[in-house]
Amino acid sequence: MMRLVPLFMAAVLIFVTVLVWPSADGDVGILGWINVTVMLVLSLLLLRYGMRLLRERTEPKPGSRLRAKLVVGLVGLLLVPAMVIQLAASQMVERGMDVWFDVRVDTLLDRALNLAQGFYERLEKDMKRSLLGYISDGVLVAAVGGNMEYLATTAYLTEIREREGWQKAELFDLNERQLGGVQVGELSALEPEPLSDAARLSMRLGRVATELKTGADGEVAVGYAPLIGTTSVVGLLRVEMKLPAGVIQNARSVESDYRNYRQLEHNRQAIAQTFTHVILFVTLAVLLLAGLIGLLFARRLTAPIGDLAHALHRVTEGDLDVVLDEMSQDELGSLVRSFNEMTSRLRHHAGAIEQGQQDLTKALDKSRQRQFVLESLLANLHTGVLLVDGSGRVRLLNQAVRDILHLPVNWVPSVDLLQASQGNLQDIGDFYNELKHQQEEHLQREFDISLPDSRLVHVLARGARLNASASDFSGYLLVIDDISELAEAQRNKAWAEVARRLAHEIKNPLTPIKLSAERLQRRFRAQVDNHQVFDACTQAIIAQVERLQRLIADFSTLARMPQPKIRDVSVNVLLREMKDLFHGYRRIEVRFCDEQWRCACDPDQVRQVLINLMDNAVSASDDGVSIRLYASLSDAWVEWHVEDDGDGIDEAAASRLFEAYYSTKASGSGLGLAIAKRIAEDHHGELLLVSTAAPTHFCLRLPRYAAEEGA
Amino acid sequence: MYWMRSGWVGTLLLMAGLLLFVRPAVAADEAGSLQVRADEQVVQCTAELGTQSKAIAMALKDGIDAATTWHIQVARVREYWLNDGIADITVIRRVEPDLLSRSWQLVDDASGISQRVYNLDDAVRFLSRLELFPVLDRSLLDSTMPYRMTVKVEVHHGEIKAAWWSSIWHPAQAIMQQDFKLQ
Repeated sequence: MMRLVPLFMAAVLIFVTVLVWPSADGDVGILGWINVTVMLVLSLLLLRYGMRLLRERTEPKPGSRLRAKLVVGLVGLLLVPAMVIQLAASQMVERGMDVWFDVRVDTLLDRALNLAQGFYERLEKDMKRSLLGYISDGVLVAAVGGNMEYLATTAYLTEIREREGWQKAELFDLNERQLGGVQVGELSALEPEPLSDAARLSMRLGRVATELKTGADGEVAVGYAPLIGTTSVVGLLRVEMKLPAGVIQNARSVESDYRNYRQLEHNRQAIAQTFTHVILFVTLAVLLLAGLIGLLFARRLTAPIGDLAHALHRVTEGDLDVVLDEMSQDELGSLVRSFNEMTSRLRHHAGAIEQGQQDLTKALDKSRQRQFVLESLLANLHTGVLLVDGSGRVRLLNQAVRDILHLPVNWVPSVDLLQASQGNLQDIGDFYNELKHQQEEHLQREFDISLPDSRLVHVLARGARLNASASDFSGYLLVIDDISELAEAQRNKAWAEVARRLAHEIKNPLTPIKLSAERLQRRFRAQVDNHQVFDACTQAIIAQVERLQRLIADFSTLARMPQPKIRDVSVNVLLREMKDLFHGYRRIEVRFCDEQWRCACDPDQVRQVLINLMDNAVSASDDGVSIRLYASLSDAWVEWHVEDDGDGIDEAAASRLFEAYYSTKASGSGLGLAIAKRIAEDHHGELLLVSTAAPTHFCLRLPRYAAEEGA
Repeated sequence: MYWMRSGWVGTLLLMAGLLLFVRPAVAADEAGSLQVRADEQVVQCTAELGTQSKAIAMALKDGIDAATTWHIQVARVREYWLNDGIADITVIRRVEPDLLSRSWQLVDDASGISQRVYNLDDAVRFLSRLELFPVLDRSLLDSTMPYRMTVKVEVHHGEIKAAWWSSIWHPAQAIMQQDFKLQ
């Protein structure tokens, strides 16, 4: 709404301008045009400012609005009384005019002028009446005709001058030549005054005429009487009569007053307009002056406010180095001082905050660094780590624990450990529960966990209680290690030691036993009466001794497994050897592969594994059950597959198949698959039971290239 | 609205436009008549005021002095440029009434000749009419070129007061123009 004030004031000003616009026939002079020009300029300025206010979208210069409001307010405050004074003054002038030009004054002046004019008319009439008596005067006509002497003519002129009371009397002929003249007092000039137009007209028309003349001595009435002879005008009598000075002065005063009055009346409208414009001019001058003073005052008042607003704007934008000059001791000065104090405190606080922020950033960086190191450590650690908070929820778990325990996908941070530890992971939950409820700070347990792929993993779980006193966190740290290989290695080592001792203690007596049995058979067979029983017994001794010798040999092999002698071997050659070896079995199908397939391995050991697998397949399946041997190749691996369509292997046997001394065959040592597995591992490969039945499928997977070659 | 944005320049242009608008408003008033006549030697004009004659008659009747100032200008008309001024003559005629004798003193300031008349119509005609007034010598004009005669008349009631702006501000009550070409 405030934005429309300048436009409203401009409209009012334009309306007033139209009202006082000088009329074409008015006589207001240049003042009227100055006024309308000033008002137009003011209205245009207001219009321009108002339009700018309406169009303005951006934030104006600080303090400008306040300054404009102050000026507009001050001018507006003066405008109302000024307009009232203007109207009152105009009314007063109108009333004054009515009084000045009252009809009574008008009538009075008319009558006064009529009196003055009547006096003149009276004089003229008297003079004309007197002159009419001399138009046909014989003496004068005779004098004009040249029939009288100059002295007689002069004497006659003196006589009639004195008789009529004239001051001067002159006689002229038709040629305007002065024939004689008399006057009161001395002659004013030697040369006669030439006849005027009125005198010539009088002669030409033959009529008495009068006129007024103003001379050095005052006004005189001049009369002309044509002298008519017998038939025509023959001359002219000119007489002068001095008008009474006092009366004439009064008459002229009346005339002057009348003229002035009429002139004033004639200019009545112009006078009123002039007065109005003078008042208006003064009003405008006062308004302009007030506006100027208001502007100076407002500028002086708003300059500190503008500076303050500008400084606040800069502070808002973050510039706290703003300092304002304290120019005055008034409220504004106090405001400026408070502002400076505020910015100083803000600077201080901002500095402290910035320092704190820097410290925090450094601490955060360090913390992140530590966290990164910890995460890297945990990620690269082969030991599984579980961090559980006081409420039993997992806060942290690394990839190693997922790999060791084959954790399902629901094991994420914030999962409840006890709820998640179901099924095969029950032992983990039990371990946590025991740690949680025991008095000791630490706990260590070993247990087996069956994995989803039916494998058992032997883990070492260690737990520690984390106290809140050291940090804000309280909970439990569980460290889980897969010690399956370690346990197996220990077990293998123990069995190797047993095998070595057995080989040492049992192998030596076996040979003499066998030799003794063979000797008995050769030497005493003829002496016994029941050869059949004798042969059976000795043969049994020899067979069992040989069995024990093979057993001891297997033990020795397991205990002293040689390091594989790696070389480049054709895969197809090994397959062909198997084909040759088992060619007696028609149910065995060997599929050869590309001759180019090569493998870095010890061919003797690989051959031993393949023979073991084929032998197991043959012995575990009935006749007519087909057995297949084939190879496959990938970028990094070479695989030999042995499949049979036999009855398969039950789950319990499958889980212990690769354990030493575990065998389903009555005569088996239980070391075949254990040795085969050992050979595969020595080659950095693996021996897998791919499927337990339909078909029963074993796979020997070995790397294509030797480990030192970087394959 | 561009002039509103261009600040003072726009304001001044508007003021100039307003003044141009004002000037014809003062001058437009059934000015009168103007006739140009050229004899063998002199170019003359006959000009007569229109409605202003009545105001003059009223003033003279009331004994108020009246005067008319006649500015007579002759210029060669140019199509694409300002007209070329050739002659500029000012004639001032005054009438001083004498109410006591009911006569009017006619004064021609240019020639210094005065005359007293006893008829108001003669006085009014003296102020409101220029009859066969010689303006300039014919030899100054080219018979093939077009010319324009402009007569501006200022009517004064009362004594002529020479103000400082009189030379700048001419409150002309009548402007008459006539284009002519010498035969």
